[in-house]
Amino acid sequence: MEGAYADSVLSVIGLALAAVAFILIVFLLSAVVSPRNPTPEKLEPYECGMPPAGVPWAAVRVRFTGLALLLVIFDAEAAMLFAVAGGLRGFPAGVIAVGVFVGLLTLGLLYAWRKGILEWR
Amino acid sequence: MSGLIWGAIYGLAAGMVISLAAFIGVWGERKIAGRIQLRYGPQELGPFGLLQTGADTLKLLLKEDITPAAVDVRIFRVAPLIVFAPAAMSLAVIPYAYGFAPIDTGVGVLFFVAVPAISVVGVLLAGWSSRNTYATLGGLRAAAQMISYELPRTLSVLPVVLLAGSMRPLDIMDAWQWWWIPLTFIGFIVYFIASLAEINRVPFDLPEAEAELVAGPFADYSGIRWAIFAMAEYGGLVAASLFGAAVFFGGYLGVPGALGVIVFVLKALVIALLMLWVSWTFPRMRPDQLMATAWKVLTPMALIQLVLVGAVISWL
Amino acid sequence: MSETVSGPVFAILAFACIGGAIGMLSARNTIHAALWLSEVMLAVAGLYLLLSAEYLAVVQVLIYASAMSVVVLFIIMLTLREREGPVRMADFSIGGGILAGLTGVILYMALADRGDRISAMPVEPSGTAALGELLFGRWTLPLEVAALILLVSLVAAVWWSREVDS
Repeated sequence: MEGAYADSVLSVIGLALAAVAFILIVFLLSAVVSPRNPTPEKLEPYECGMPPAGVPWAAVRVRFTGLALLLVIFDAEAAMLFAVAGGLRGFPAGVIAVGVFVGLLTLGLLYAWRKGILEWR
Repeated sequence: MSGLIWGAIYGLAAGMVISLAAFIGVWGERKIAGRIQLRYGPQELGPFGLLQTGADTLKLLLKEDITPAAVDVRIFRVAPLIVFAPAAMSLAVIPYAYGFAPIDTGVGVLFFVAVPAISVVGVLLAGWSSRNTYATLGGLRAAAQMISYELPRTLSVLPVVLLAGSMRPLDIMDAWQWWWIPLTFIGFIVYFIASLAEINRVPFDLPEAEAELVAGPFADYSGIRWAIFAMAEYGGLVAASLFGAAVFFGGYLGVPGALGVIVFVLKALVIALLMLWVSWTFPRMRPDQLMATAWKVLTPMALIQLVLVGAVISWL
Repeated sequence: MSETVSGPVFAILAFACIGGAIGMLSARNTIHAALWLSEVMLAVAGLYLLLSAEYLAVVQVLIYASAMSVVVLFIIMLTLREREGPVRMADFSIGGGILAGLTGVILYMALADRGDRISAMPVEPSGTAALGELLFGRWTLPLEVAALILLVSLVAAVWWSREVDS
């Protein structure tokens, strides 16, 4: 596994590190040149001058959790589609097999639609 | 070893490209917005007000970076990184010139849709860590919007992969034919709208609504940390237009050498301008319309496009 | 890949994995724990990348590091009432011990059985294209079964979120 391939693997890791490093450099630059004199008023949460009422970290009824679960399932579908998409050209049997795969999950989408999960409530 | 170094170079380059794009983009956007709203936009500083963004950047750098007392400090500081780094990384798999993509990987297309998805976690945590009711709710809403539009965005690039028979961006460019443009046009529309929503631009800027609300999940961020979020959005805009221009409109193809890169960038610029135009023309959507558009319009459209392309490739 | 490069990179990623797992277990704040969990997911994606399984790495990022992390965060925000209170650091109960022991035994058996196969890496990484051809050539039926399983889990997800809503 010498050569170009190994390089491309490592370069993804280098890329991630550099992207983070870039922001840290910008933060550092800002930390050097920006003033720093906090006052109690400045350090309040931004709520237009009112003292915040209650703790915001109370349980939130996240209505989107169902959507997030749907996304996980459909992402798994999409990932499989990407895996097979590469070799489907000029292969009708394969297209039909994958078509059934997509059809089954489309049925699932229609089911979620009928049950009203996709509504904003 | 050289791979690590090259990757780091590309990463820094991506950061700089995004900075530059934000620099010019903010100016261009304000000019265009001005014209659309029958005013001039920035014009005092430098020719055509070009130096205005420079002054703004300087101001943001010099601003006090406030970390409110109530926030969860560690997550508050880490969240901008989680939002920005994926946007920068997605720039690296785009095919810029014949035979050149900074990171040439066999799963490039999937990489392009998968990696920016991480920033959802950053947005959600940015809102939560502020320990501010509005920011927390804003973060939740932003996350809900981003996950809803992730599926149509992922599916919209699939037809191109089907046609090219590969996920490697350079292979796609090699296989690219002009008649793919009409064939994948539905896919492009889905991609365009979903990309707008992913970067929270105006018809889809409900979580932020900076003019009316207080910038949603980023309410408690100030100075350079806030600027990083704005830059990540510009990075997303740049990456989305470049990638769209490459896979849906043939990027640098048909024009030899360095001229090809220029043509590629021009095509991307057209898409970017279209995005700005849409942003400044359309009113904001209602939340229920937002959800309905993602799941009941765009996803079925992407599926129809898939079936269409599937039918075509089975007898190619 | 040359040993000199992959060694240190592996060490860093392994450290990130195990360190993240420890961070997750020792975090007193559940949201912190969730963030550590996504860090572990990303580090695992890095390990896949190092093993030349680029497709697996990207799917790991798409499904686990982003989508699953959001689900976990949503559910934490949905269920926990008071996040200030400390979470129990460790569970020394008999049930926990039995569970840990069982997991260890299963892991040992799996590794002892497959050890030789794991140590022998294929010389040439089989590309994603080959994986695709296998999926709809030889493994068409399992592919459709996977679709059915996804469909069943989708129905469960729909049912669950309706339950939560009412």
